[in-house]
Amino acid sequence: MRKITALLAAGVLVVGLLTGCSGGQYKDGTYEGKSSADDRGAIGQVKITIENGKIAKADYQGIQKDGTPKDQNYGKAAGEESYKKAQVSVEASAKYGPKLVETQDVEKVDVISGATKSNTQFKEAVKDALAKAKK
Amino acid sequence: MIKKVMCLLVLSTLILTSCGYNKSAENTPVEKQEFHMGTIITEKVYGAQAQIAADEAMKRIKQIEDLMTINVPGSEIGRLNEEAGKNEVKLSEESIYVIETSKKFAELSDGSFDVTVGPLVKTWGIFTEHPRVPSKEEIKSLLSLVGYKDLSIDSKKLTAKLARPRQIADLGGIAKGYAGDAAIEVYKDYGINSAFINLGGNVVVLGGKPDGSPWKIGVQNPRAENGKYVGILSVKDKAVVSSGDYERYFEKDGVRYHHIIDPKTGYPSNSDLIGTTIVADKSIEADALSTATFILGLDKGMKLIESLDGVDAVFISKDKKVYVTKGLKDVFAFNDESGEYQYVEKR
Repeated sequence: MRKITALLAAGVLVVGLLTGCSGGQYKDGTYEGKSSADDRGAIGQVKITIENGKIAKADYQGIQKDGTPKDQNYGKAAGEESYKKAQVSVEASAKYGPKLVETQDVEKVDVISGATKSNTQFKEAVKDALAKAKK
Repeated sequence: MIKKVMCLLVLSTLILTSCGYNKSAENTPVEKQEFHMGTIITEKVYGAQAQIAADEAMKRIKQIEDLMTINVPGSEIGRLNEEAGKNEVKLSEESIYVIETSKKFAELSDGSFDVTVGPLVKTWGIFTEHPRVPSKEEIKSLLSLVGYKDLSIDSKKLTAKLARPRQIADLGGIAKGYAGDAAIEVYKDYGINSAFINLGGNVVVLGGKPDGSPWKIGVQNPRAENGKYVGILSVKDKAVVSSGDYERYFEKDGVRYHHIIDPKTGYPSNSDLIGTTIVADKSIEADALSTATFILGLDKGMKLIESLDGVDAVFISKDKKVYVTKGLKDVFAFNDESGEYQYVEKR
């Protein structure tokens, strides 16, 4: 009997932690967040939708210094080689949002060893948006 | 039944308080980012004196850069190079410590890590706006200037000398490592016991996170964009430093030339590794060893790491296999989102 109580307690604790600490900390609504500028003056922007206290949708967009979005034209003017590289990053950043919805957590790792350019604009933008969504 | 209700009550109270506690001021970190030593430096510091500790650590790094840079004339190491083949140069205790350590790792790696590779690094110009591929003759002639044994140190008189004219000591592969250790010392001086510093991918952590759990450090995927990792290291009080062919490079006639010059060939290292990550107590050691093992390659690199106490490594090979040393078995969690790598359980 005691064992069952303990098991139940453990179960409740886990559920409690999940709902209490990560799911329920945000107010429902739509929030926008921005990152700081990188060395080329570009920023990251994110729009996050909270439903039932959880991140239901996240759209991320890189914005160049002159205000144009980083889309299928990004890097075109800089020659073929640069265009290819630029488009790889555009494709990759399109996956950031869905990934966040899946994990619900922007901070799976604290920091990355060997990442020279510390590409943190997505994280920054998300943190900015979620700060506004905090209860 | 009463027991259960009690249990629930206690638990929910616990949960509520633990959530609330996370928001207290003590647990709000100071985050700071500046550009020094040719790279972006990020700090995250927890504790009552976090702000001043973070500020002072940045100042300390700037100080070290001023002593050891060779890109600005008049630094200590700059003078050592100017006096090459001529005079002994008086140096600060910390410059002596860094070059002594660099010599130690040169010996351990049989010259695969060698700060006297300077003339070649300079000629390739990989850290400049105008990198170029030197001619074979040029490389051959510059190779004759490489040799850590020509760097003599008198640690009592605090002097050092390069034996021959035109020799250049370049601490680019070790000074950032030293700066990471120095920053941790600054944090400790201010009573901090939870912090990390990231010097362009060289990560050093003090303690664990404020809740006592280890820091989670991703290991960069060498063939993906910045921020994608192949696995996660969970560590406290450790330095985690990576080297790879992806960090800095240029392309010429379809060939990619990266920044880690093999002191024996004079060309960018061409071992079977594309990325090395060293976990050690001191970041100066991790920095030197990440470069050394990158050049040595998988077999020799693995042997070197296993011969050293308290040092571990993650090696990523050209054929996309991820190898870890014994000590990381429970520390490293293979977590490759790209699905392109194969994990090879300790050798």
